[in-house]
Amino acid sequence: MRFLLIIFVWIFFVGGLWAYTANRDASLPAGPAQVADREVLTGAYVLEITPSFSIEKDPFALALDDAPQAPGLEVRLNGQALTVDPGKILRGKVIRITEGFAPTVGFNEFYVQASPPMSEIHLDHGLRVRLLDRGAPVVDHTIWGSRGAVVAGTVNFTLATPKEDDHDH
Amino acid sequence: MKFLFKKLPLFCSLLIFSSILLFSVLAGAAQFKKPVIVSSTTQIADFARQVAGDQAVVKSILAPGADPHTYNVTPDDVQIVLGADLCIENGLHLEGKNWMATLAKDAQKPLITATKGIQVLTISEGGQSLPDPHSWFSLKNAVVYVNNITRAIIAMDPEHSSHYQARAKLFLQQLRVLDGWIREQLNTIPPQRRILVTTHDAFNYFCREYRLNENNDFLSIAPVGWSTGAEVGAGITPERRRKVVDSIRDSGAPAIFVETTINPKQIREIAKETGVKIGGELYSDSMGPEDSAGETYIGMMRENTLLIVNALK
Repeated sequence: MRFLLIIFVWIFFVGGLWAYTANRDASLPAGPAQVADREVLTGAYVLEITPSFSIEKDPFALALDDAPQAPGLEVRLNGQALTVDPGKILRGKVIRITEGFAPTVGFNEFYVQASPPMSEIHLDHGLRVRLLDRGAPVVDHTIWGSRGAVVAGTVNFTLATPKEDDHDH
Repeated sequence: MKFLFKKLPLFCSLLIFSSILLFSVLAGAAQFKKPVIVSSTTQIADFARQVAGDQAVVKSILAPGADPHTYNVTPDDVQIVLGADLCIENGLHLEGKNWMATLAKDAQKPLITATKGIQVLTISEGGQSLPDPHSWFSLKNAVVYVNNITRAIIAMDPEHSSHYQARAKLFLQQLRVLDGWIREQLNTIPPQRRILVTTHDAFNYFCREYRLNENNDFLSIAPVGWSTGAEVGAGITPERRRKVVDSIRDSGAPAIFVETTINPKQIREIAKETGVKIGGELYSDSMGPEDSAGETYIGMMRENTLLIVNALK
């Protein structure tokens, strides 16, 4: 009888502890709170990227079966990949991106990555990133990479809500 | 009942303590049950470790400094492979008599070959063409290793796929930088002095990729064949030895090198005969021991390059 009582009390404690730890985090939210959508600015913006090198596919890129080989140039706006013409991108050629390009009011961030030719490991390389608003540059920044490494970096900028009187009448 | 009430505080304390202890052990064991990856060589173990990070336990059958060509498996190796979720071999007969494939097959564990898809260099030995298994000495081949290993690890543990991909991408970019650095370093050796003589034919991919040994079709110069074991094309022959001595005399090689995994006797004899210095000890079939500069793949390649450059330039 004494033995059974000990077992019962022991099970009670272990069970209680297990139930507590199993349900401890149940009241926490499953994911981050819904982020309020920010006003998207469309129409007038153009992104220009000018490499100081001919962009090539990176032979050191990760290649998995279920994912296409990474292109030589990768551009993301606020974490979302932008469509870039996969054609040959030569040194000094200006790449203009307008399609699917929608910065928002407030803080924005570009991520740009490009692979220089492996034959130019002795050179430093640069990528000029310009954001144009109706032809006028609002962001102009150059990202540098040294000794043939992949040129990668972020460009941060803040956009204000367009004023009503900015519209042409 | 009387006993229970009399000793109640002690009894309750013991119960609570033992419950917490038991629960902690069980919870800890469940939380830290990680997949186990077992590789044949130290290089592959390092690749797998770079990709898996702390999400998996990576073990290598070969200890640093061990020779994969002549290795004999032990009962401990069988136990290690029995606990594996994934086994990885180099392939191309690097593991003499395919000991890793046999271990995995006997334990009924999944096995992948890290060199699958590599552009293999073939060597003519005794009238036969043989694939050279030392393909990790080209950084571009190392990319194939890492891609194959990443695919296999993701298939084993798809839940952490993004973690593995992020780590693999970072490691591959480190390899890209290393590749550029090796080219830059070797470029400081005058072209006529870029002669690499080693104990066995382990450096064919390195010579081909980085343009060493022009007079030997950018391939290794070594008295011993591609394997130190008893396979076809292995071992030292008087003809090979004579060829090496002639190469050193013709080219005026300033130094020759021994390897960490092989007895240096033959190379020392050749150095004495030809009057050249020993340039140092290269990591070849295995990486260096823990806490050495060559304990990782990047470290191994870096140290080999520095040794070669310092001895030859």
